Amino acid sequence: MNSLGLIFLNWLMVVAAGSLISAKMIKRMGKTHFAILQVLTSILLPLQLLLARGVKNLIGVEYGVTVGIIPIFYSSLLILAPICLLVGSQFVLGCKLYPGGGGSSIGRVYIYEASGSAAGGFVFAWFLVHYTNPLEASSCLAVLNLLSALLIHGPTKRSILNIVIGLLLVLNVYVLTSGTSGRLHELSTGWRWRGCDLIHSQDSVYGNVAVTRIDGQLNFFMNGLLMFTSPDPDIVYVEETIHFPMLLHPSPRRVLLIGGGIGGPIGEILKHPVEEVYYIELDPLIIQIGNRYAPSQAFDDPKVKVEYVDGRLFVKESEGGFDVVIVRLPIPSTLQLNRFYTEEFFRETLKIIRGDGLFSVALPSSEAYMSREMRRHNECIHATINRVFTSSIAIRGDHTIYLASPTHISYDPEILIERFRKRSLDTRLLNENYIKYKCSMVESVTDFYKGLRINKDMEPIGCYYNLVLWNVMYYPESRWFFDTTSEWTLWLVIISLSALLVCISTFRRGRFAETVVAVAVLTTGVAGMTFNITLIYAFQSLYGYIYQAIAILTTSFHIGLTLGASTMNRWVRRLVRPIHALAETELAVCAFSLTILLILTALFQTPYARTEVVLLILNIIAGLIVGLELPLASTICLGFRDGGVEKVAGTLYASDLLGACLGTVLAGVFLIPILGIPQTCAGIFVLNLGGLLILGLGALLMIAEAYTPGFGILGGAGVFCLILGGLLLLPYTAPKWLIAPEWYSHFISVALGVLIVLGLFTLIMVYKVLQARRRKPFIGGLIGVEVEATEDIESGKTGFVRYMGEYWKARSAESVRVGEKALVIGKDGPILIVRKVQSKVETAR
Amino acid sequence: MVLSRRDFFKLALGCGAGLGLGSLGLRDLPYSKIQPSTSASSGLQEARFYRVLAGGKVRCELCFRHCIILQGARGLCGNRVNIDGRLYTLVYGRPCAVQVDPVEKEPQFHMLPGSQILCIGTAGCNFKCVFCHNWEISTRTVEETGYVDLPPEKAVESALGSRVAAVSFTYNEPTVFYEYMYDTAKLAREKGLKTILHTNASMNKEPLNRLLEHVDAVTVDLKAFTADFYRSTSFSDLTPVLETLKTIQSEGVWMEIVNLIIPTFNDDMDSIRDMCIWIRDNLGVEVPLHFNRFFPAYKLTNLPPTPVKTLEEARDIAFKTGIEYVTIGNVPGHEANSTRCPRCRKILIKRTHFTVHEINIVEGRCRFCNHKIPGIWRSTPYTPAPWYGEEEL
Repeated sequence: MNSLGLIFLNWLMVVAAGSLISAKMIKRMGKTHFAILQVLTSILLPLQLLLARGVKNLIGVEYGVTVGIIPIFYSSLLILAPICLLVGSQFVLGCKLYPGGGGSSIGRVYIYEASGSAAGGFVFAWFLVHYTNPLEASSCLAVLNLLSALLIHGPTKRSILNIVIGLLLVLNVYVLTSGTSGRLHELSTGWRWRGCDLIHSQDSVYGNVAVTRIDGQLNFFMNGLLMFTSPDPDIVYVEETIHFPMLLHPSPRRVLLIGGGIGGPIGEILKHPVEEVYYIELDPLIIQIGNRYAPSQAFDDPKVKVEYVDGRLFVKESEGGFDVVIVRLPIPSTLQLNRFYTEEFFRETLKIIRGDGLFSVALPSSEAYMSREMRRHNECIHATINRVFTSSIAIRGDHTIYLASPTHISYDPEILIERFRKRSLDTRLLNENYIKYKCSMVESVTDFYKGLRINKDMEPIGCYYNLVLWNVMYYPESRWFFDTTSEWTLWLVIISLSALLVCISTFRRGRFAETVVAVAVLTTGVAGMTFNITLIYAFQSLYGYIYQAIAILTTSFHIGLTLGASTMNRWVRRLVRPIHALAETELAVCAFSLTILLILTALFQTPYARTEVVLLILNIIAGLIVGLELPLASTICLGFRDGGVEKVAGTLYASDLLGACLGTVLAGVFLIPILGIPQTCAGIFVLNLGGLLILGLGALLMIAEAYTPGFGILGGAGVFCLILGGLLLLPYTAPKWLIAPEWYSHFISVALGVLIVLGLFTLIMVYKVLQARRRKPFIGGLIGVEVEATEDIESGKTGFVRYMGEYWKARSAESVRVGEKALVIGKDGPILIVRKVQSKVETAR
Repeated sequence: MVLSRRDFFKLALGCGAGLGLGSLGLRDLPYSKIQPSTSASSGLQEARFYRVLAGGKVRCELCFRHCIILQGARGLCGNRVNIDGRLYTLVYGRPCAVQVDPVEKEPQFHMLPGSQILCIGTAGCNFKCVFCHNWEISTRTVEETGYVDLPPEKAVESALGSRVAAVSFTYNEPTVFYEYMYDTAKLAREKGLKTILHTNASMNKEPLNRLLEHVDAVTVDLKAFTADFYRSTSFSDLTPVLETLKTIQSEGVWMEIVNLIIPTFNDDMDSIRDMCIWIRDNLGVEVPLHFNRFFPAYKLTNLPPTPVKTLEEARDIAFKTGIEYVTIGNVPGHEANSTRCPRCRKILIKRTHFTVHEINIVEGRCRFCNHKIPGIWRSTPYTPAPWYGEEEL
């Protein structure tokens, strides 16, 4: 999951780079070049897929060895770079070539891009993943690209390019129809399993199940992770995780096993005097393939009931009455898995456990020595269990088994041995001495790691501890970094984000106005990606399965984008002050982040109400709001300068994507796991408020000279707010408020964040205004220039005109309509006096 | 493409900085960056095997690497630091893993079966195996792992207190805490305890010979029988390992060999046969050989566990070669967990995993056919006490 995020990040980054670079070199390019770009894309797509499969061999990583985050980063960058650069430059070139030019052409291209993404996601999730292998899918895409290249270039032309396209088309069709792609697919998937025979590989909607064979042993993998082996499982793991919870119960009659049931465990459970065993497995394919290659009689036993359902859903809807509940799932490396280690899950489990029943879960551990990271990871889960159940113990070993019960747990070895004898268990590992030995390894709850946090659905810190465990293994030096980040508070995030915004806005000195718009696009980009990730995370947490759902959720986001962009494209011509509209969009993003917060809180109160559609709608709305922004921003930016569509398109598209990158890393890796969903939303709120402020600042500066007194009012209001906020922040313990104290502290953090952002921008504002004032007046220079009216100016009245992207108040003797040109003939204080330009001088635009 | 010179420089600078920063992370630096101050040497024990070179450099003479260590720097193991031209050990009396384990876990099958031993390990290692099971200590410095303050006297005291049969130096490579091990072993011997060394056999001859005077039994991890394996997966060398094996044998110290079979890495039966032949010819047929099942660990997690069939094949080859005591480990309940008499093929010591059920050795001889069984045995037959009630330190 982590590497998936990293790859995604690289994708966004390189596309951004592609659009930025091409903006600089695209001046002389035309349709032929676009066609060439598409042809290159069609060639690279399948090649990169093969490259991705063989990359481990290429970068010299020994088979079977996993690598750290940096090699993953580099190799995925290397693989993705060529195609992403092409994609990025296609966008910019597309904007330039789109007939009409100007802001609306960028908007149009953006719409097509977004709807293409939506369609791609949809087609992939519903058709390609079921009916084709990835190579065939990429071949189909190549054909699509080649056809469009042909159309753009003109199919009737006699040129080398057309011949190349023709040849490639034939090649791809051949590959698709002759079965070459199938063979190539098998060959290339085999690269991953060097030394073992891949005997089965199949995708379900939940992931890929693969079976390899080596020396008579079958190995079953789920998404590349080893699930179990046959005929000899990891005997210690199987027997310890099953028999200890079973032996600790005096008469385990009804048993619930969540996950990990194939490859022995069910058979082990049946050795005890049970009446009913419920085995919960999400993916039927696992059992289907498992039983096909490693048939087990356990599954034929009438006592065993297999349910293909999400484990949490089962627990939630179960009538209960279980004596033993055993969770045998992988470590909480993703949110989807982390749901089985959260306080909420444990509470749900507690409800279905009967009387003196037991709950059991195991985590990889170490007997001799545990590092800080591993202790923190495991103790976080243990502390969470301990918080819900009356008593809990941990049996240390290579896998530490955590056992919990609503009543007191007694682990007297003599009693266990007695039961072991009475049930006459036939085991490979367990015997009387071993039971005694393991009982001597029992730890009951002692003092937990300092500053340990509880793992919750909305605050999945377990996931983060897992990420740290994984990363510190490869890079022990990174420990200090993760130590610091795990202590992050919303506070710190807000301060650093505002500092970042300030840095970016002051980066390009010459074009402050344009930068301001780009920053607004960037903050919205961050927000858009964060919303998307938050909703995907929420979906994972609430409903579990994800593989196909990611595609659907992302598609809905892109549908929203398309809708938003096309709506704005229609509106933008009619807008008098696009910058106001931009500010309003930013405001909408702020409002939406709070809405999302509230709705998700409500949803998490009642999980499993079938509310997936709510998340879909939220995702569409998120896309919609974000989609509004780019066409708007590009129109505004184009107002600042003449021509240069590709430059504007390049800059804005890149800042949108960079925002998305930032959102991916920040929200996906750090904010959601560390701060939790509510605070992440609050952070996005503050960030976009910052964007709004910068925008306001930009707009203000443009008319600063005209409205200097207004600034004073604003400053005064700011001071007032500062004082008010300061008063609110005085140490004050809320009495019995309706809202929880935690929430109160969230609000305080948000308020403080706003304050800091406000304060910082007031400072820059003062600085910029002072700078503007120090500049020599250049009023004289205005007379004689041509301006454009941005609203209707009745004769003798005042209205706004635009000059080089700046808004000026103007008065005219005769009425001037929107869009008409006028000549400045004089100046009355801050108000320009204009005269309508005769129609023959009017430019074509 | 139009790029101003200024833009070009900016771009180049940015890319350079990015690549430079990124490449920092690429380098796998086993050396710690923490530089101890000069005053830190006051509490440290000086290393016993090193040579002073010109320019304040020293050369560590403990293991086959012969690290040349600059002032303020550490050896590859991360445990030895050069302070002002003198080499100090950072882990003397500072183990980070101390635990009572069954002697079978070592594995040490021919030494007081069923008894308990006190196992001691510190941070650091002179190998860099990608499949290390104790990577949490072996790939870290003592600063990173933390430690318990347990000087030799206290270690021996606690061993006596928990009534164990032996003290074992294990978990990481004990060579990297040589001084601590040497003093503890010497003291433990004086107090009537046995001592066990679990090593990768990369120690140099001189320190090894001195140490073996105070050691009763050695378990050697013979990781594979190809230099290539040692080079690529352990960042080390096979030759010194074979030399050490011969040295230990010639010193007459009891030795057992463990071979962890990793699928697709060292499961080639020809190479296993070569290994068995080499052991037979150089160490004799009475050296017990354990084939252990591999489980994914540390960086080598994309592999399945070793098929039991592979282990059985290896055992058969070893038997055929003539090696007399061959067992299979990490497969609880497997028939080859137990040791059989090479003459009458009856079970000498019946085991499940680390549990001993039955011992049929009387005064070092097979109870059934009176065949002499090499090893360290108690004089009278006994039923091993169950491991129970012993607290971890």
